[in-house]
Amino acid sequence: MNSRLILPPGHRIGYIEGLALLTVYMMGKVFTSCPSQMIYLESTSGWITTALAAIPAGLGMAANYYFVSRFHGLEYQRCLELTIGRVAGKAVGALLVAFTIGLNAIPLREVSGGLKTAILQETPLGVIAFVAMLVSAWSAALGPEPVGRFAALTIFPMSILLLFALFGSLREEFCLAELFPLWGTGIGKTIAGAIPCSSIYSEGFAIGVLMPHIREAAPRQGLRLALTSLLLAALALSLTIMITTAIFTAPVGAQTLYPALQIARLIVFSIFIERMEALFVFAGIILTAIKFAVGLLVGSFLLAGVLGVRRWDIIVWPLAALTYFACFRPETLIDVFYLQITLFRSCGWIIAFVLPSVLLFIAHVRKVPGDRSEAYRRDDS
Amino acid sequence: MKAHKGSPVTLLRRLVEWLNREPPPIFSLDPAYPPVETRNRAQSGSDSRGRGAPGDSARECGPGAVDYSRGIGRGIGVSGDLDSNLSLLGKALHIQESADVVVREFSIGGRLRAALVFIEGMVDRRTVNADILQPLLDPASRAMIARKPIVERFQKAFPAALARPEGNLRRVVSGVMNGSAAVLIDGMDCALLVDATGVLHRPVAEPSTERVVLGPHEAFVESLKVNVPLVRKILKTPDLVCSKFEIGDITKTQVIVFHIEGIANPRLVREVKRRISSIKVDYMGETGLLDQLIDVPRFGLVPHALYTERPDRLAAHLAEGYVGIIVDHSPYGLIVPATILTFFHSAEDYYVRWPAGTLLRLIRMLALFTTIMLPGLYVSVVNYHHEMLPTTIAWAFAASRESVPIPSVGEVLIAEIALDFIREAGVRVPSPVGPTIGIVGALLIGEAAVNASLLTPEVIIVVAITAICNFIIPNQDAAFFERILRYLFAFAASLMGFLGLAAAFFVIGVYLCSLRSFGVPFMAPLLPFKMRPDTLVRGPLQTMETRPDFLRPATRTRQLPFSRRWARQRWSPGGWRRRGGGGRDDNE
Repeated sequence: MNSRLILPPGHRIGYIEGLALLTVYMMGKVFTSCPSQMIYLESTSGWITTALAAIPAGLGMAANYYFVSRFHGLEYQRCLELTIGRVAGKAVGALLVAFTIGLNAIPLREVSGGLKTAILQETPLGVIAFVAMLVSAWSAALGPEPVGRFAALTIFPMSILLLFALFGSLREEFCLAELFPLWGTGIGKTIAGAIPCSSIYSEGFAIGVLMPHIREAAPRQGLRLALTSLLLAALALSLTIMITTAIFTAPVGAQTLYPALQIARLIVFSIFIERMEALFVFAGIILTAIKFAVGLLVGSFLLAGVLGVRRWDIIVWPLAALTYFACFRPETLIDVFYLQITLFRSCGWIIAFVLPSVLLFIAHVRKVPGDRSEAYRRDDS
Repeated sequence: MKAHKGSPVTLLRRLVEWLNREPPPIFSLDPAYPPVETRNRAQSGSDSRGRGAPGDSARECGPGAVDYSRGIGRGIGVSGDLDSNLSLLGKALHIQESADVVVREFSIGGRLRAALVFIEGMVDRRTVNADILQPLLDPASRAMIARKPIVERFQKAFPAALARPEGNLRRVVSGVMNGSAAVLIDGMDCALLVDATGVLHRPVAEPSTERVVLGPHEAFVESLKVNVPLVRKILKTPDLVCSKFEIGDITKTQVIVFHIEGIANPRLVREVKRRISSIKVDYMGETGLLDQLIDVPRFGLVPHALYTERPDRLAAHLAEGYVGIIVDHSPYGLIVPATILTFFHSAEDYYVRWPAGTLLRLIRMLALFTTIMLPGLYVSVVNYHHEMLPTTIAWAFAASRESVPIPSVGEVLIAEIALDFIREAGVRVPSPVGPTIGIVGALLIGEAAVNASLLTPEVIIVVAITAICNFIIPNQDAAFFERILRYLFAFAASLMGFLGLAAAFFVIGVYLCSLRSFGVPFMAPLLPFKMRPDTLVRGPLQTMETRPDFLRPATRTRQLPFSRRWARQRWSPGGWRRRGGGGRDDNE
């Protein structure tokens, strides 16, 4: 298998595009979060706690980054195989592909259900999910460069919209008492308890898989990248959770299927345009499509590595079809929430935080140097 | 055991081979391009002609190409026998059938037979008579035939016109077709091609699609002989290089590629020349045809080259490191590579002060979004998101829609198509009846349609605003693209409201981000982002000190870091001196 150069030079993305991809990926959570998340977050921790949880999550990202950069930009799957052997590497790769499909399928069901309930009552759920998956798969098949550039283009207006949502919600319903964290439980315990609450593990995982495709990610820039990722993760997650916790109390959250819509309903801009939720739908769909596109990219890179084929862009389509059908597998929304908690809360942090740390440790103990000559040949080209 | 041809194993193997095949190469200005494998192949010799040598493929006929100079072999030269030469030329130029091919036989000094071959209307009669025939028929020309070398003597005989000897008969035919007069002399084994081009063309006039209030009012015309000096007179640098190509087996159209040596990226220049020289078509009549032939789009929706009819705009882009192309018989030049923002810039932006230039650009961007999105937004709001509107306005919309039997998207499409009808008719209608079309159109899609309950007044407002905004876009090519997008967005909005609109916006956005024009990302300098004072905002001229990075110009610096040096000078009894010490200023 020749996994050292899956992407031709024109498909490798720059530093800015890479960061934009990950940040928009995080912002997409505002629009794809479900009531189970909010209830779980609100019942166990406050927003500062969750913001603090970004720190171990950021460490997970850093672990992923250093694990891949140890191999001088080889594909994630290749790094796995070099560290733990070919068979075990393939097995773990297949597990990660399955995890990625779940990571895409459940939010797809949530978003489609939310949109149908909120604004597109007449449109079948399958059609909404189909459109979302189709545009995401099409853009993913073009490669990370156009998706990253589009993400960078949209990141500024999206941030403005999120801030509008935050301030609008603060004006309407914000209560200062909610800002105080649960100091009585102790900071250490709070952080430890918050680790499974954080939902940015998928981003940490995405960093590891996308890193070989970031053009300017030379090892000397590693510290800069790790710090920036940590900062962005903390900011984005804080902002997201601030919005959701400021707006929703647990009972309200339980009744809400699409939080961004509810946020937007509180904002009154002018007499002419009273409700801005449609604007948020617009932004939300774009963010969500980018999120799914990144997910499909990650999945197709991994699957291409596992199968030993070069054309990851063709793999995008069957993977999208698989994700589409998987999203209808849970029959009720309760099943979706259960899967959400089981898959992301219980396993997600292991996959994205523990796994790269363990792999990094193994690579360090076994003194796996990586195929340096192969990597250098790639750099030369 | 050998696998059968149609067995699953063979099919699987073919599938894996297909999945592992090399993706198509993408041209990039990145020094890492082309990839190592391609470079090695190119260096090995067998394929090198196809990639690196501009002009080679233009001279070669492909296996399926038609030889329009039939009758004359590629290597046949001019012989010393005049009759034989005239016979071959006559066959190639179809002298017996073509009424405009003129062959005039005469004798030089009363004893040396000669002939002049030219195409009527392609040459200037005055040049032919005064500069070619008169010197040869002059009694003093006896001296020319007395001594050797004869060719040089005859070359010097023509006082004003440029003459060059040509020994290949195919090239003689080509020269005659391009407006030269061929002088064939008995006993001389070459022809003299005398440049006497005199094709009529209109005089230099004002631009029709890129009018400005401030700035030059000159536009290109349909002649290269006029267009090239129009650029040359602005860029008076010896580094301005004009490379000439000939495209079209029938038309033999001349194409000029401009670039400034030392400023333009050599890789970009090479790529432009490679694409142009590799074109094999029989007909090349206009810039638009060339644009489509050098373009590499996925769907061909978006223009990849910037059209301009202004020499000053072409010259300004050349000075920034772009490459310019002009085609004979076309009043438009092409600027490559094109990025999205260049379609919304106008020459006038630079001729006014920077706040005004910035305002103009922002207005254009607003107009762009309005013209693309407004019909789709209207359809979305009316069909799906009416809660966005205040109750009173929503009631008014509902009341006006009550009497209209057509769905809102149908209304919008009818009004848009009617507007496009009027626009197309307005372009082709004779000027004396032009205002009539406007009046009829206004009545048709305005009051009459509303009174007949075919359209609502809101749709008329939406379509009118859309049309006005479309005319604000300074580039016709981009305006066509926006018209297509408008239909697309309206259709997507009618299907799923904001979901459809957002999905269409996403697809178009990613598509634009995936495009490259001659190796330059189409969204540059927005993406990859590079702060420049000449993007959405037009900064003060003195801040534009570097050329666009995305072009990777050979010389990045454009002017001194402090271009307004007078602001650093102070008056002293000895004259103007630079502030902070130092001697007299260099400008003095």
